[in-house]
Amino acid sequence: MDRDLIDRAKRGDREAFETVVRQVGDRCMGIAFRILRDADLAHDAVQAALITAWCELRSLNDPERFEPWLHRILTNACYAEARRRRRSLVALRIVPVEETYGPDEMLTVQHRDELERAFRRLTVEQRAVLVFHYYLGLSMPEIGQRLGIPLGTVKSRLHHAMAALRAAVDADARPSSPQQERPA
Amino acid sequence: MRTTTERERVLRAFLEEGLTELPDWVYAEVRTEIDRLPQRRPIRGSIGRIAIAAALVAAVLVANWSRPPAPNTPAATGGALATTTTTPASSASSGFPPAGQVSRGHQIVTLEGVRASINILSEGWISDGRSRLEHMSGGGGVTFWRSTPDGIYADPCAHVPERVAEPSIDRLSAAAARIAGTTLVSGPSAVDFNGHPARLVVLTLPASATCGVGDPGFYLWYDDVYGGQWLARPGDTIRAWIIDVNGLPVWVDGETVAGADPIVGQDIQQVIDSIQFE
Repeated sequence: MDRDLIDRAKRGDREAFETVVRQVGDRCMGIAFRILRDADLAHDAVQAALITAWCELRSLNDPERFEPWLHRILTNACYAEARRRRRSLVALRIVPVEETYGPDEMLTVQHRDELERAFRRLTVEQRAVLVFHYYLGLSMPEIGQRLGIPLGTVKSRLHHAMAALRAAVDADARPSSPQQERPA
Repeated sequence: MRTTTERERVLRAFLEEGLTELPDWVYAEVRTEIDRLPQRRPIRGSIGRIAIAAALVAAVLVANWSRPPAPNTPAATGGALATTTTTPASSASSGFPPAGQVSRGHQIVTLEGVRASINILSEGWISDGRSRLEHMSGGGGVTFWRSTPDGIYADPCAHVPERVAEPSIDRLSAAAARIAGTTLVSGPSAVDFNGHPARLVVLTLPASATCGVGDPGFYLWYDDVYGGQWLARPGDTIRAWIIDVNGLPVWVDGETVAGADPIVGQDIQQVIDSIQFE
């Protein structure tokens, strides 16, 4: 991230901040969508986060830390969005599947669906830790810093999330049988 | 059985899939808000900053609440709630009142493929456009299960699902009545649901609940397609009606949060009483 852009944005330069937004928007969308598993919710969360970031930008002491700072705001916006819809039954719009899945043929249609369902059953906080670890590739201490939670909490959430997903992931290793009832 | 490394590879592959592009209309709306909103001056004290940040997020979300979804985007189908009121004709086509404030009068809902009408007598309801009417007070709501739940959570805190085999109103209600960690207030009780046999189960979350404070709460039952239902904190109460509609189990539940105004329960009951299956 260009430090000069952040500095200008901190001084109230709206054009500079819009440039920043254009640079980080897709990344934020990728994170929010993977945490919330819903495009609509993700759009709202990213929008809320970017607007909050603009309003609070002067409180950012170190422009070099802009992206981690933004990711924390974004994660909180995801939590807020999930809570706002807490009573809504989030329709599980499975990402459209195709005949092939790029480089990783291990992920079959059936097991992609099972993973999707299993992922949605995790708490939003667990999903956030998984996304930061396995999607962004952050270490556990980095996740703790970015989310503002203790390292022990990161480890705990990661452990429980992986345990919950394990059954679904392991199912990928079993031969599928159309006669078998799919496990929940 | 996969190794941990293989599991992680599969998970990474799964997370690599999905949306990565923020639509232009979101950029445009962000820009509009940036032009409108001033930057805040930094204040001292993390509590103040956090409070303001939280308030800002809340304010933005409230603003989104009243913003109609952007047109011509797939996201518009279930996104931010619109302020437009609904009509029976519009809900008839989608099987549920569209997102936004629900106007008084008759609306159409479709549950497990069965059409039903509901009669809204108060203006205090907001539809999520999918399956849920939320009481404006925030004190509760009614969930119309467009697809009847497939099972309960054997462990509501660890989110371990347990499918109900050969689901019937008896099997489903019995499963709901034995969810670990809940307090069974009553049921399963055989009741008449506007001319259809039904079972009513009333559960509340006790103070001893080991989860449920904060999102996403204490899970109760789930549907493979629509997701799970949960309670958020001790004292929250949920009533589940599992109805036999010509041999098909159909599920509606309504919950009131702890300390909600009694009017919420009355309004929920009014909506429930108005359901007429076709």
